[in-house]
Amino acid sequence: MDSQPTLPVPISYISGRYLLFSIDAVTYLRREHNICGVLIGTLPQIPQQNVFLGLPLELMPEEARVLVDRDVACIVDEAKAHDGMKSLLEEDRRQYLRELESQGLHASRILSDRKDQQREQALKKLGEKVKAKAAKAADNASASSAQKDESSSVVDIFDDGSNSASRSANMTPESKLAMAITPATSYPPLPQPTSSSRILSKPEVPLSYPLFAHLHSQGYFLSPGLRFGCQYVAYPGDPLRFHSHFLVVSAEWDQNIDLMDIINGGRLGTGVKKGFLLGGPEKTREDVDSEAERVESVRAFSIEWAGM
Amino acid sequence: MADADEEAIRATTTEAPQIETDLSDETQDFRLLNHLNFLSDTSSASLPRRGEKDFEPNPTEFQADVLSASRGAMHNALAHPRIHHPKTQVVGIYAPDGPTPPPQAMVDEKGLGVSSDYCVCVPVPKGQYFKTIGQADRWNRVWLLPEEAMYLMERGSLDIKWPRELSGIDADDVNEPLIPMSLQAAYACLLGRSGLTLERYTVFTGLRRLGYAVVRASGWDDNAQAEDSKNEINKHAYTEPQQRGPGLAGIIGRCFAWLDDPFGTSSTAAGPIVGCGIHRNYTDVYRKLATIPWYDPAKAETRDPLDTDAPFRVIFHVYKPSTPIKKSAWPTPDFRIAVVNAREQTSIPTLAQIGALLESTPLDPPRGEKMDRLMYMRLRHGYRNVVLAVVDQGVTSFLRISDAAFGKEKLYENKGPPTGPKRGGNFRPKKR
Amino acid sequence: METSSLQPKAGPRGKRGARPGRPNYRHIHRHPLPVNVLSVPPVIPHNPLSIISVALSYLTFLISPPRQEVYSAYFDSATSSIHVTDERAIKALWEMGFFGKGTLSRSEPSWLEREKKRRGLLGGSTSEEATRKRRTERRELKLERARVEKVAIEERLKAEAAAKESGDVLPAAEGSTIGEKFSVKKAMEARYRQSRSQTPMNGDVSAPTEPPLTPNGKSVRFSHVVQEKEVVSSSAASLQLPDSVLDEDEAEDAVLENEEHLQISNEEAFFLAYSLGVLQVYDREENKVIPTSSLFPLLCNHSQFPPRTATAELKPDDPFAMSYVVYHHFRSLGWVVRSGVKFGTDYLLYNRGPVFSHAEFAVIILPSYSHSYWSETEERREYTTAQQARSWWWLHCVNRVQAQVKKSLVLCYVEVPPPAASSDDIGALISRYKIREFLLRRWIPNRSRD
Repeated sequence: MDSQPTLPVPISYISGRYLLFSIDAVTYLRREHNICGVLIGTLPQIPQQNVFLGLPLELMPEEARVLVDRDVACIVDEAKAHDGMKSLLEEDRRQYLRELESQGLHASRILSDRKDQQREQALKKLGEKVKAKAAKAADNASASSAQKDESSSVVDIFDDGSNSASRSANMTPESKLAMAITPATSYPPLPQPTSSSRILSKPEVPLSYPLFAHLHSQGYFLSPGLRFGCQYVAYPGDPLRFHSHFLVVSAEWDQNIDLMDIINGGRLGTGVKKGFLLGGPEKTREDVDSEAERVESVRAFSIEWAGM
Repeated sequence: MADADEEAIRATTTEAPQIETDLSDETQDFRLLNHLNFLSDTSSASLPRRGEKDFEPNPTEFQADVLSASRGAMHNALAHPRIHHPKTQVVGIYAPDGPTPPPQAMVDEKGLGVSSDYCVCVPVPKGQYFKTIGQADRWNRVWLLPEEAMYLMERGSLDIKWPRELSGIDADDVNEPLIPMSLQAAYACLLGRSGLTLERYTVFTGLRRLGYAVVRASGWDDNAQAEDSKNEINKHAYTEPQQRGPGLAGIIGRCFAWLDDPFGTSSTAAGPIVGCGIHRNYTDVYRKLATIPWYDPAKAETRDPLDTDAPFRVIFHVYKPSTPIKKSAWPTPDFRIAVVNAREQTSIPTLAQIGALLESTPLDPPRGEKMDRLMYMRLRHGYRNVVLAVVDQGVTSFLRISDAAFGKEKLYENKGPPTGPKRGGNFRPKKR
Repeated sequence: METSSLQPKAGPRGKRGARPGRPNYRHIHRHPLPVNVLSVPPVIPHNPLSIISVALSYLTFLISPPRQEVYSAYFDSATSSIHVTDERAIKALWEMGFFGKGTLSRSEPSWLEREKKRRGLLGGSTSEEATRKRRTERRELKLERARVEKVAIEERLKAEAAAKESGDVLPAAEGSTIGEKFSVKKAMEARYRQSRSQTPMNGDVSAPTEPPLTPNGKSVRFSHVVQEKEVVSSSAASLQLPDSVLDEDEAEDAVLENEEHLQISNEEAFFLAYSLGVLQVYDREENKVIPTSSLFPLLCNHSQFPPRTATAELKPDDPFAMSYVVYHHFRSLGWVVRSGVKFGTDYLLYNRGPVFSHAEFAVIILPSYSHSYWSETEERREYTTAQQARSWWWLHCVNRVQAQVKKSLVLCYVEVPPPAASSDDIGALISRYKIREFLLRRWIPNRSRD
């Protein structure tokens, strides 16, 4: 699970947005670089809800920029890269199809195994029930363990295939057909992007980038904050495990700030037990040559509504 | 204490979040999904309680372990494969150049009958999804729009293949299996086609996941213009201050107006508007005070949906899961949605933009027994309404905007204590 | 028990009698505006007698007209604000239409009464005291929580270190957080229950509208270090609380001067003076009444800081002109319009008044420049674009705050006219603005499916 993808991680640039499709890249960037992005895809196992979402992961341009600046990622023009499908060698194509087929067969075996297992469990449970009835004793332990088994009705797919292989003899001819698979990424069959022609320049970032980069460099995890009434939400650790501490709004140093906006921000944050953080770089884009210099000059202020 | 609002402040934080928050607002612990996990053993899972998170990192191994378990669960959930059982598999074929007839078929002048926006062909459509998705051609093949194809693929219900021509296979080699498109390939090839931005797709798929049927509305094409543009604000929708009408009532009214104010002290130029005389009742006083023109949405002319300013135009019609749908004749939508990318359109709409958007929706005045009774509800419902989906980097915020028309509610005519709903629609008169 | 100075206790008290001493607000605030209204027999067009009787009553008024009270206020140019100091005027303006705010109170001028209570001249305690007490309690509990959590973490670290040394395996991460969560909310509730059981239903305990000690969880939580720092500063500050300075002898000093007066917003003042004709605004320095014709430009010039010079031309989108137009519009429909600053909006709309119900609507004013005048030159286009460029996060921030306090957000767009040729006719001037309201609220797809 703590796998490390080959660096730099390619970030797909599609239709003006920054996306990640590789689960290893997503986990790695979250773990090692405090970048969580926003999951926007549908999870096939639970497709009818919006609470848990899946790949792809959308990155803010700010996040992509931080990663490119750290040399852990590069930006790939994905539409162009997929033109490579036209020039795929016949040999590679066949090779890829064979691979998919074997994965599909594997998946079929696992599924049919699971069915068998479920049947066995059901039988076992039935037996236990009969036994329990006979004994007329309330054996709570076995009951609860049976329940547990029931809830874990799904198993391992791509783990070792040793015992399933031995069972494949029992399979009906029908279930021998391979499952079709929709892969998450196109690599393979496409070769990893190495040619610099497909690598794009650094992402353009908004004026709020210095504040973003500053907070990120301090160890905060940042998410887009519009729904919460701010630009970024800042978490002290992985949002999976920590509540956010700050609602962040960026301003330019000489920008007028309406007092009413400060009241609103303060109330907003305090109402949900968070700080309202207002900050920005002291230097304007005209003052400096690079965004990095602006990041250096960031100052941040925390505002709390104190009631009356 | 004279100000009841102070209490509201105190009551807020304990109740309000339940009203206004959505589970999807916060990152939830993926360990909740462990029971659905296909990739690792599930026995270790004891369900974490929702919302139980730490305040800040601490150096304990305990915390590190919990975090690592959560991340592991997330990894497994995201790694879940999209597999298609041979018996139930639905195959789509990507058509990079838009709809084409089947190889042997001849196309006459009637054409395919499918717009060039469609780009994935499902030769053998089966399953419930096609009730609200896709368009059939004359050969009973169903064509999908890019967002429809991507949505079905993501949820694991459609296996999209690269076409033969693209992968360079001899067209005669029918038995040769086709290469499946990856999720990444689908995004790379379908996003950006026929006006599909990632923001529009995010809104589409977010609503579809919840069971809504979503179709493109006429405003989909940003560049489409109305033939006859109003271009101006709906001038006659503004209600000018009331004048006394003619007729007997008017004459008597004027007569009494004179009696009210025999020395002509009433003046809108320097005040007082209500005059210095004696008033017979407060209703008269308030009527005299009505000097500011206000917009009456009921009097406004309805606009052509294309006589609006993108992105403030309706691009999706949305139907509740319960609404019966016939693809050949779509009913009146339950919701109309405009999609805004908050990073491109950074400022909120101007009056001209939001006004035109609302005027492009049909009149939907407050009706019903409840609405008749409850003024607050009428005001909140409004006379026309639209939903703005503002998308910020993958996170969508929906806002319902309605034409409120406060001017149509003469509050001063209401007698007795306010009976409007308080506390989020809990209707009860104020206790005395 | 007397808890309020607003005493006319007409009307029968509720049978339940659980809340003694609640003033009869319906009677006190029976006039929605501070203008005189005399009921006249109804006119029935078909009945000549009714007309005669009406005419007779009018004749009486003509011969001896009842006088409309005109109140006085002064304009202070240093602070650009308007004040009412006459006790009778303060009472009248508050009771008839809820104008103004006590300078030492949250809304109704009630300082004197609170002060009396505080000095023990009246029974009971004020809501301000209760609030302060609650806040202190909350702070203590939060510090306690921080301490408990710190201890739990230290113990866990020790256990982990010991386990490492001895090679034992600690029980795996079963739950998700260390120890039982210390809930300030629950602790507050426990304290409240305790205090309730100690003082069983004593009518003296609270003011009529005194809410239960509902925890509000407002304060932001910071790390232990910060909280520890806070203790020092707050305990130092508490030494200087006015209560502790107050001498026992002073409390017996029964002659208590009312140090509070009523401040009315510039919009309220102009409405009272221009629309109703019941207020005269004096220039404080020259001690002269400011005629309404010059009051409007004066308040416009003072709608920004520093104020503009008197000779400056009026801008059509002057903040005062804009906010007055909106104020006037909602007042003319019968709403009690008050400042929304505590919720970060321009106005709050009350049905009849703040003592009767919460404000259901919160209004923010947005300018609109649809008139062709505003797009005639590049300069104007740039100006209006900047004026209209409010960000999405700002709108969401405002909307979320309103949701927290359960108010409906009203976006009130004001169509700004091109500059006027003259500003002499105020009525003509303000009727050139047009108003269009939108209601905005969050739409949650998950809850709109039916």
